[in-house]
Amino acid sequence: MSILDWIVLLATTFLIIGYGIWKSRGAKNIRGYLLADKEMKWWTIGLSIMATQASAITFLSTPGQAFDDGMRFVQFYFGVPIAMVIISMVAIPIYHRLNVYTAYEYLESRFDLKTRSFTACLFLVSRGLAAGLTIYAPAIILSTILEWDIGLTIRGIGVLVVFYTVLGGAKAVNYTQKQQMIVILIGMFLAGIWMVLKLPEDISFGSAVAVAGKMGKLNAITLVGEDGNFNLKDRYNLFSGLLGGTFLALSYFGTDQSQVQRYLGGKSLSESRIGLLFSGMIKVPMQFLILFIGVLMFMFYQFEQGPIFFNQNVNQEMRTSELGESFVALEDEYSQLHAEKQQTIRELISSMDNGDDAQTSNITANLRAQQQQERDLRTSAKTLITQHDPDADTNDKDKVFLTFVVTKLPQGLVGLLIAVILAASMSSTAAELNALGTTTLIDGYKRFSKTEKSDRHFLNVSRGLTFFWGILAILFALFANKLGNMIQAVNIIGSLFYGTILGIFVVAFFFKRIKGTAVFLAGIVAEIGVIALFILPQQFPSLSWLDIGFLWYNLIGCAMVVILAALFQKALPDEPL
Amino acid sequence: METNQNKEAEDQELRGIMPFLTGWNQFYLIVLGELVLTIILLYAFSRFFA
Repeated sequence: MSILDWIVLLATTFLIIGYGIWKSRGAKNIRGYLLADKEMKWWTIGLSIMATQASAITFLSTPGQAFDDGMRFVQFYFGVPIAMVIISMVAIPIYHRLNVYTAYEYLESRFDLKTRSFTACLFLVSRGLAAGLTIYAPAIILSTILEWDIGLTIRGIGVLVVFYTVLGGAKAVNYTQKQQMIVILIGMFLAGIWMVLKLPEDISFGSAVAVAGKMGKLNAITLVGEDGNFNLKDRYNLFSGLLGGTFLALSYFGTDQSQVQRYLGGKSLSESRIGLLFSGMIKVPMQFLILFIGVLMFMFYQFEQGPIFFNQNVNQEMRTSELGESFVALEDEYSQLHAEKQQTIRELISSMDNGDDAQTSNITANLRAQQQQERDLRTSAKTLITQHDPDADTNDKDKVFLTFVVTKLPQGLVGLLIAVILAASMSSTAAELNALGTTTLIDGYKRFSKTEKSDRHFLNVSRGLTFFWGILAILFALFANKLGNMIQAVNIIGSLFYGTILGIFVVAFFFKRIKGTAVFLAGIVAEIGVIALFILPQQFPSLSWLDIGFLWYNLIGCAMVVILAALFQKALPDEPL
Repeated sequence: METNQNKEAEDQELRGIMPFLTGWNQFYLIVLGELVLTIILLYAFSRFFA
């Protein structure tokens, strides 16, 4: 990175943090610290909700996802607007009326203390583990591509986040997130513009998009999986997006404290609702645009030779390894194929311009065959990399965009895009730490406190708890490398818990006759059931039919809680509300 | 009585922020309508460029 990039990166990062600290100065009580004094406007809430959800991995992986698999990932977000409407109608009015600090606080007034504590614990376990990964995941990619020291990167991101979150609380989180989201959108927009400008002079934007379509990258709506059949394992089709996506979004936006806390800080019920609905309205178009940037990047690499594997350090190591000869041969073949493919693309554009449909479909078939050859060569390269180092990470989807940023963007823009990635990482982590601290204080320490204590005391404890979770997240990130396969498990841990948490809230909102003990027992059984569903197919091959996409765990967990709670309620002796 | 008053106050507030809307249901319909329109447009987009 050049000096200009460093200046842009540091200036952007520290200006945003400084602004957040300045706007949040002087928190005197826990209402100010945890709920931002309930003075947030809808646009701050909306941007804050989006910034919480969009972690660094969103901006690193999503363009790479489109580069690799096309645009069908956009369907994953179709459930978001539906969930936002349901939450606005049902949950927000209740949270506001009861004036709660956490979503789980409501569960005690609706059910009992044990159900509240159980749900809060599920949240703390899942979010507490995930907070470390939110720092670790971008840090490992940044350190790989930019050759930064991984430990230093984790400490750098972690210390900054912990500093402003502990100091300013929810207000600092919300105000920094607003600025971070603006920087993120500007950075991504400029990267997209740069890709279009850098297409060859004889290739227009329209032609590039048309070719991307012919190469199967503009598949925004898919009704079945790649094999032509509907498959529960297929995460990205219209049905899984609408059904599974709605349940995931309901759980995340309606019951995850890191999101609930964003709209609880609204100046009024209307501001909270509009903020949530506003973020729901722009989520799908925003994801479409990020994926479209990935497609533009794909087109860019059709005319500019990209590496066979998107990690130049690994490529360099491979060339000098015992498998160097085979690897270099693959790279040569890849380059030759790239030149042939460029020729085919130009023929395709000319054929489309002439309106010759028969020729267009012949050339398209030829181009697709070359695309398959290219994929095969990339797979062979990954096989060689694994042979050389069995522990090597051969998933380079996450690194495609950052490799593009570092190698192809001009000075200054590189710094801005790295600032975008850091901003995204810090915004999600800050909201998580803020929510973890709040839940531990409100549903734990304050709820079980035997003696009367001052607001100042709770404010200090709240700061201490946020600091504690921050240090835990940094330590987890530092040791994440040693967890190996555990990482994947932690990655989907949210989905293992979300369904149960959502089920408990669904019963609370819609099934007035079901009481605390029934839903508490149903929650425990459902949680065991979902974890079994996740573990059993991995341990016993004969149960592989149980292996479904993790998006469905939300629906199954939720349904199990509702059904079991209704059954338990019938079986249990009546208890007073 | 109190519920009606609350509802009225909420509607007033909504009108203050979004003057063209007279109730929350209209807002919800706009959000869901936008989703339906987006899906239709994306479907047309996928088919057009396939």
